[in-house]
Amino acid sequence: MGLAAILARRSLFQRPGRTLFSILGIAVGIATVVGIFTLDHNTLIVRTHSDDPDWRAEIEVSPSASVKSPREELAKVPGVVDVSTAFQSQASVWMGGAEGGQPSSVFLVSMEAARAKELGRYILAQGRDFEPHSARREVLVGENLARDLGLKLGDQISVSPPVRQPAPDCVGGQWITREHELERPPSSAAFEVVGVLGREGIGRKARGDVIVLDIDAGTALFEGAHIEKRYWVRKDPKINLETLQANLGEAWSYDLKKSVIIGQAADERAFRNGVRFAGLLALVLGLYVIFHTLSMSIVERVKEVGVLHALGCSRAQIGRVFFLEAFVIAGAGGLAGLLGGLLLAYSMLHLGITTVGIGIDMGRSKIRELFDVPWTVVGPLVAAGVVIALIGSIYPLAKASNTDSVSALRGEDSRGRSQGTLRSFQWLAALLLALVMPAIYFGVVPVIGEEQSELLGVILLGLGVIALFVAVPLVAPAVISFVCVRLAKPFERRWPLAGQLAARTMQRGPTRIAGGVAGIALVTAGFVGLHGMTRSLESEIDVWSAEAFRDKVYVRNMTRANFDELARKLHEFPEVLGVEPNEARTYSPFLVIGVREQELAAYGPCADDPRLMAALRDGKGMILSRRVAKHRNYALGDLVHMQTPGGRVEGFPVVAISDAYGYFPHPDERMYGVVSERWMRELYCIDTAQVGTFAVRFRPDIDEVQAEGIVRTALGIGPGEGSIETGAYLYWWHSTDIGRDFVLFDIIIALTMALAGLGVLNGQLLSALERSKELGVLKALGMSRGQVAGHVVLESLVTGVVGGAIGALLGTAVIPVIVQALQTISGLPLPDVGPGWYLPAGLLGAIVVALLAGLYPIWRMNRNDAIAAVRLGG
Amino acid sequence: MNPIIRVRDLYKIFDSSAGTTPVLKGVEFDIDPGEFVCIMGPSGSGKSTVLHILSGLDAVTGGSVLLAGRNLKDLSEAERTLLRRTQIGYVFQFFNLMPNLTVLENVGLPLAIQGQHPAAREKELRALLGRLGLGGREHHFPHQLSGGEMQRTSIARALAGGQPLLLCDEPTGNLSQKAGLEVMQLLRRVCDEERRTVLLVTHNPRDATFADRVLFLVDGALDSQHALHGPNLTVEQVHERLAALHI
Repeated sequence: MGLAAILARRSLFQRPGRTLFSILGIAVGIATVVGIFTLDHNTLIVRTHSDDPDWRAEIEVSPSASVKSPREELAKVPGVVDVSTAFQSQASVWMGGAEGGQPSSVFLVSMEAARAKELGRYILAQGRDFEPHSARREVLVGENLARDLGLKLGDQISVSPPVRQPAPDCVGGQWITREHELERPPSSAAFEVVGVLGREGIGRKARGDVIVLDIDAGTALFEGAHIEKRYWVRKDPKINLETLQANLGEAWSYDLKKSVIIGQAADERAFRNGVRFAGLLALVLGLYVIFHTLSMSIVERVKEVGVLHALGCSRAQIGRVFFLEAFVIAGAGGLAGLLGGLLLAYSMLHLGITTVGIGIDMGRSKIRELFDVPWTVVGPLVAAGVVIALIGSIYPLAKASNTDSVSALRGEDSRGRSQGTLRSFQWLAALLLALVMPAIYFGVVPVIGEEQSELLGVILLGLGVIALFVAVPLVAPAVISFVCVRLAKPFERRWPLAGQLAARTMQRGPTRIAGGVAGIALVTAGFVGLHGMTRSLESEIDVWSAEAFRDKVYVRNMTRANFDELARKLHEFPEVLGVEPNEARTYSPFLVIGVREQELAAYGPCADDPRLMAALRDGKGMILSRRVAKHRNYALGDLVHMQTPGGRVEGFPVVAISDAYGYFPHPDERMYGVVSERWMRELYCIDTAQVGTFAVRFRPDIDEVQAEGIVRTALGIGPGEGSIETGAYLYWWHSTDIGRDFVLFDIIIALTMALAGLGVLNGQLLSALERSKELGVLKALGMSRGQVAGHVVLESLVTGVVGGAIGALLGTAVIPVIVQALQTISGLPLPDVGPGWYLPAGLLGAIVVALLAGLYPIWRMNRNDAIAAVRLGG
Repeated sequence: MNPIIRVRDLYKIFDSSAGTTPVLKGVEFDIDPGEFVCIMGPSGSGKSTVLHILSGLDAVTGGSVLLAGRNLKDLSEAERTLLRRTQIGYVFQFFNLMPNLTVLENVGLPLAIQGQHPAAREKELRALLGRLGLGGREHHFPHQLSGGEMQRTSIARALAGGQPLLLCDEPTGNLSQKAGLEVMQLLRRVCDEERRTVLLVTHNPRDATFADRVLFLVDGALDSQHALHGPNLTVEQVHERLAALHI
């Protein structure tokens, strides 16, 4: 075994505490970031992998009558990067020529052959793709169809449109059929089978009884028949969904495939970006801990360097020793972090913790089947973490290898000589952690969505905070140390030895103390800032619920009854202001609910302006929820375009924007519009007379128990029967839901807090090693274990108090900035309500973590052999 | 015979914020191969500085130092390191054993530094430890040894690399009377039996009696007139000379 291996191995194994905690520092940082990205990646994979065989594109749009050249006009819409024309229909297929055998009914997708490959809407199990400009008629067939018909590549099949029932339309509340679609004789054409579809994408449609034709061949085949061409749109990933929808404007109706666009909604984007930034914070803090630990260890290693040099070791040899040691620490930390991160992500998925919400059952077998490691993101991040940790490890040691050996051998106090090394190291650390690491991070992991300018502001603020904390030990260690010493002074009166020792230790190691304080402060700031933001969200729920549902009682899944009769019974109670039905609803282009406008007269905007009721009924008016208006940029007077079942597009003017009407908790949807039930009846042929689910609005002075009692009495529902939820219960549910959703952030904060604690622990441990002789002498003079513990506890306490206080104040200061950014990103009207009780909680948490961090150093110091320490000189 | 060490007009001045402090002022001496030379002087007289300069760890302010015929002033740091590795074994007052390494590993350190595999010469190293009275202590760590054992391990480390020159900086300064005596007997034996050159700096008169020649460093210069020549020096002779020099 060579010199480097001998020394590195012994150094690592003879001081297992230092080695373990150094590795742990890197590992926890890397595990956090790996865990977050693997979780995010798998959240999207698992939730996107729909069991619904009705596969569709990301966004499918249909033109209104005013659009003359749909494809060309669509391609010009900002945010559209790809358009493909397609239509879907039923068809009949049989082997051989036109006079062939028994036809099979299949699902037909006709799409642009030239774009098929790049659209990636299917995969091929056998054969080849379309030849885009081939004169031959080619067809791709589903797996099931190929098996049933015994089809082989090169076989000829005939395809015919079905003798189909015409698509109905609702006109004036009556279903009608279009005459021109009736009794159309079917045509047929022969196609060559060139490929068999795998069971993905289109291949899953109709359980594999599907064929794919080129759009031109399909159009020719269906000539004369009614087909509705749809336009598949792929959006620019940098553009928000809401922006694209706004850009599409009034000329298009669109349908979103939610399972394809998971994680793209504004609040989901904000959440995911927040998680990403928290990941960076954890990684930087992890590296900061290791940097800080290593910079502290310079002092300890100086004498070792001097001896090795005196024994004939070259600088290169000494460098190799330290490189090997650093490589082992960084490599082991990286590997442990990678494995720990993957395990963390897997466990969180199993527990229903995702990056788009908490409490989501992803299905264990589905997680097992689909769990995937995003190596293209995770790999570079782990590598960057390890390399930066390595640089951070080598630099101080390389500097140490150049220290004055003669002074080291003389046993002179090395602290003064190490200051220059420490200072240059801190500059390097600041550069690496505040600039290089974030640059790599955001290079590998770009932010989600288009709000780069807002996010950039928040990210720059975050980086500024990180840089500040990295720079604190550099620029103001003496200030921090001075404050800590002053705080420790009063304790000297009560515990003279512990107080004096703690004060002296902090005085002698200002950089170490400042580093520990900075780490604690950074995490406390994160904790306070985050919870200031969640309090803001809770406050928003408070405001929204007061308008939308706090004074309502929801009745669900009752036996359908006549609405007029129900309303009459309920209005016998003067406490009831109105009844909102939840039966007449459609999704075009977003959730639209039909209500009885006269039921709205006593509350909300209709109470303020009774003309609204006429506007709803006679003017096809629509009242939009605040969220849908914000996200889709609707203002009063704008037209909302809705597509009827027959494909016609109808315009509804926006007459009010309010959350007072139309919110229903199942499903929980805050983006909706409210129209008169008349239009649901006349344009969608929806029965509005019978209801089973509805909301009853009460006067604000009626409490939830009274309200529920009135509903039960009015409708004859006994106690414990029926599905009834009060607004007060829903308010509680939504408020606690925010807490549940942000559990992921709390997990990250807990991990980063552990890292900050590790920083304090490592600092105290190194201090203990450095002062082993001093401690040995004190023990020899009769210092008890309790007195040893006392001075460490005091130092921890002061570190926690100062770090916690700085962090709590800074966290409070950044809350308005975070809230403003979140408001811009999510479109929610978020009030800034400050940190509340999270301020003292953050401070208390910081103190507890700092005290816990002192436990191992206390144990280590008390375990120290006083005699050996005195004899060996530490 | 060419001297292994030739020092001429050696000056060393330390600069500090408080000003300059001349420590060595024109020191001159030669040491022949196989000779056991002791330098005595009061605390702060520059004894250890002489060793640091001879080992190439510290630079001279003026004059010349030839080690094995090579002027240290003309050598780069890498060359000085190589010279130290091949020519010098160092024994320190505070032993400076690697606390994380066992006795065997500490002793094998110079071999590892030279690029050899200590394991390949384990038998030889064990024999060396046996000769120095450390048999059975091979796998002990420094904190498990007595002071004398630690210094003997330090001497074993200095011998293991086969370097012809041993620089010993107050090797008994941290030991008991008995242990110190054992260490000095050992150094003398090494000099006699293995023909190693030993340069000892000390302020202990008893240790000086083991030397072939004792030089006195007074006010930054060696007083050649009052040098003592062995063999068979006595403590009284040394005391007498120290008194004469007001040390």
